[in-house]
Amino acid sequence: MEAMKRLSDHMSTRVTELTRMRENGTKLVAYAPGGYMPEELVLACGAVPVGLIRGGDPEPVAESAAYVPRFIDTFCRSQIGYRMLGEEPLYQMFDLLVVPVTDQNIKTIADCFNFFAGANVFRYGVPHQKDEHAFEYYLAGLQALKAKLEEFTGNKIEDGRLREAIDLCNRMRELLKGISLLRRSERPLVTGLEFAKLNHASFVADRTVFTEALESIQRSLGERPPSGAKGPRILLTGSTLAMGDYKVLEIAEDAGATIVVEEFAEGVRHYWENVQADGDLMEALADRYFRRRVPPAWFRPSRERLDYLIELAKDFNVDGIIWYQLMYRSSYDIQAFYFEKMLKKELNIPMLKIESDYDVSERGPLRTRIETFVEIIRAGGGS
Amino acid sequence: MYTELFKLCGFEADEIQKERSRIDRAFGILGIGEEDIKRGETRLKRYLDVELLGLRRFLAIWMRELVNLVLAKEEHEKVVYSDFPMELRPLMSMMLSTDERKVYFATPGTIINMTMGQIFDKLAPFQEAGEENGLPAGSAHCALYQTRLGAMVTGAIPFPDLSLIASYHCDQPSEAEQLLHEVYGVPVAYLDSCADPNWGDWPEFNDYRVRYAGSQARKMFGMCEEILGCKLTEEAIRATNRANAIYRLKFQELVELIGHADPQPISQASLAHAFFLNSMPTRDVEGKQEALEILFEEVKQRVEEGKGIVEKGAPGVFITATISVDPGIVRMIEETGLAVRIQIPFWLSHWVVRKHPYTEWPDMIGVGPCLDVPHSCEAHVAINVENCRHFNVDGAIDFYPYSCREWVPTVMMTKKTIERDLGIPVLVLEGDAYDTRNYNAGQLRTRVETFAELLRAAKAAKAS
Repeated sequence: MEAMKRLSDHMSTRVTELTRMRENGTKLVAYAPGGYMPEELVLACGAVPVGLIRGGDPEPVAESAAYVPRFIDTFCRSQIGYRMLGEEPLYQMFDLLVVPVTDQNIKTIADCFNFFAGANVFRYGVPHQKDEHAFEYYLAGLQALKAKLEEFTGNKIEDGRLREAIDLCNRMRELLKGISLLRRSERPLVTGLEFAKLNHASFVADRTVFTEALESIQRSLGERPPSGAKGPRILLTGSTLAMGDYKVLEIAEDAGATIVVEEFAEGVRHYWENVQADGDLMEALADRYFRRRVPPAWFRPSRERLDYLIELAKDFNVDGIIWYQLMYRSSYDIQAFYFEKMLKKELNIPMLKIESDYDVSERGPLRTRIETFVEIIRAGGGS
Repeated sequence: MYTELFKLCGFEADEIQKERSRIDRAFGILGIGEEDIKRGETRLKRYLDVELLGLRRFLAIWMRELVNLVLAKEEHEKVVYSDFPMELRPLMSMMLSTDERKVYFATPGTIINMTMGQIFDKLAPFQEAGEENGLPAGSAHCALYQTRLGAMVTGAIPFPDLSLIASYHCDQPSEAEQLLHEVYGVPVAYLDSCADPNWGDWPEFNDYRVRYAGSQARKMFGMCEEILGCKLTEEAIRATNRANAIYRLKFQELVELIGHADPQPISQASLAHAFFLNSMPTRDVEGKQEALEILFEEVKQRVEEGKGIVEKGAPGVFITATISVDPGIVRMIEETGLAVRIQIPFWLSHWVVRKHPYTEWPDMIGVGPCLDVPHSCEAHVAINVENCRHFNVDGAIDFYPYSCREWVPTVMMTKKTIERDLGIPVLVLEGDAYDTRNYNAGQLRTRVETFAELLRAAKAAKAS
């Protein structure tokens, strides 16, 4: 596909391009990718947003042990490792790191970047429930972020520019959603792995270039033949799906399953909702990124997320769920316990819970478990 | 069978007689038999300063609360639970607004740890039950919440009618209570907050952070009133404020007395029994204060007489091992010849005790997390350093509870900062504050002994 090729070329030269932009005075604003960071604010002040979403490699996890004991979520330890190893350019070259603090794991990234790397870090909080006080708190955090970005870049965030940025991001989300929804068909036109890679590219690519690429991709997908054999349809959910951590997708699709939809707290761009820019724009951002964002497992009560997962499973007509969590993300570990019972009761489909610490030795046992799960579904297990 | 044990725990003979049927019932439910009682007596004599009346009074409060907790549902219409990190003031003010005969308030995890753990060393069945019912082993879940869940699902203690839980300091309590809600239908009120201060914010107030915690406290009080059918009263707030301030200030005085005495007059393991009542809502407010006053006088007398549990001139250390389930680890550190001058949460630093501008009760509660350790890693490290400085220690032992994701990120920062700023060594020990199955005194002893040797040599070199 020509558009995919163009996007791939863009991604391979992106770091060089960003380096040149920085040399010319453009600020690079990195952020922790939990879905609570409105990129629109960064774009509106003339800076470039970059999500730090790399994961799946064992070396950064090992490196992080010099700075933080191992009982922190694997993805979060990886972020510390990538920075301290000094091998991933995007982790070295940003001018400001923004961390919307969702839980202690994410907070640890901010603390370690502050203390051990001397990085410029800005935090704001994400409350764990959705009453009006929580909304106000999140909004106050966004206002503080806006002030920080204005002071940091020297550019005022005017409504006009913010509206343009919202329009761009809305268009990008709409396109991702449109492509994702193609997977509702019986024989999806795009695989789970392809979609995950596309989604991940959205965190690093130039947003205009990326949006144009998505438009071309969506058009060309219509001409593409459907995927091969009809395999079990899987909903993949969990704490973090990082860029580079594709083992579950690869193994499942090798085993003949199709990942038709994914839902993760971190690492993937959330595209179901758009910003409704018809009133105060900051409130509109808070409305989209906090109030209407499907909450992760650390929200209480947990029902909104669980009901959403059930609806997603129905909507995409899935045959089973793979619950993929990283080590020591306790909220997901606990929620898996009662979600599995709920799933059995409401949809009577099976769930496979798997954990990873980004260790290469996991791949063999994971393959066995996922292949067995796919076989169980094929044999009618769970129904 | 248990008379000697209860005497060691400060009970008078007539009280034992009067409470016999309740004790029998509670011990029956808990499965405490003769062997456990013998073990309890041995542990009390081995690890704690039970010759001190003040300590025995504290032990009596814990043992009474254990019996009250087990029988709570039989004896009360409503049962309300909380646990760490919820602070005492919201619990106590709500508790004092209710009828003692109708509503029972407790922090069950703490009560069980201080009795079934400290005294009987019999937590494993609860922890295993917690692991099997949603907080699995091997995932670094907080053992405090495994224990309390396990105690409920095994029927040792009742399920509550309401749970009040705080999410400042750590995530796990709220996560575990979600499970309690989803699986067992327990209503839960959360005192939500965000650990989001920027580096450099502390120790300044952030008004919207305080107001948010205050709004959550208001919501929590509202839920209490609705479920318990009572109203938070001004009288209860005043009584709480007064009792809390008097107790904490006296406790602070005791901590200073012990921390600056040479030789160390009592074990820090004994002091823990007074400390944990800082967060346990007992209705025996007077008994608790009286126990503290007695203990203070006894310690003062020991200091004046030059009596101690370690040698005079022993190297002093700051430790972070506030272990509620097992006095053995702190005692082991003391037995290696180190004087434990201070443990992290015992002492209120000047930042924590300073005045604040809030007058509404819920907002005043919201101030707590903004001044103390829960504020940020930066605060946690700074308070650790200040503890070392204030008590002029020769070294520090950073015993970090491995499953505590608030604590874990501070470990290497604390080590680096103390060694850099104060020039004293820091020993990092991985452990668990609520579960000794994987980390007990025997396993940690060799490393502590080596550290003690190092500190003694350094002190001798300094003196010469």
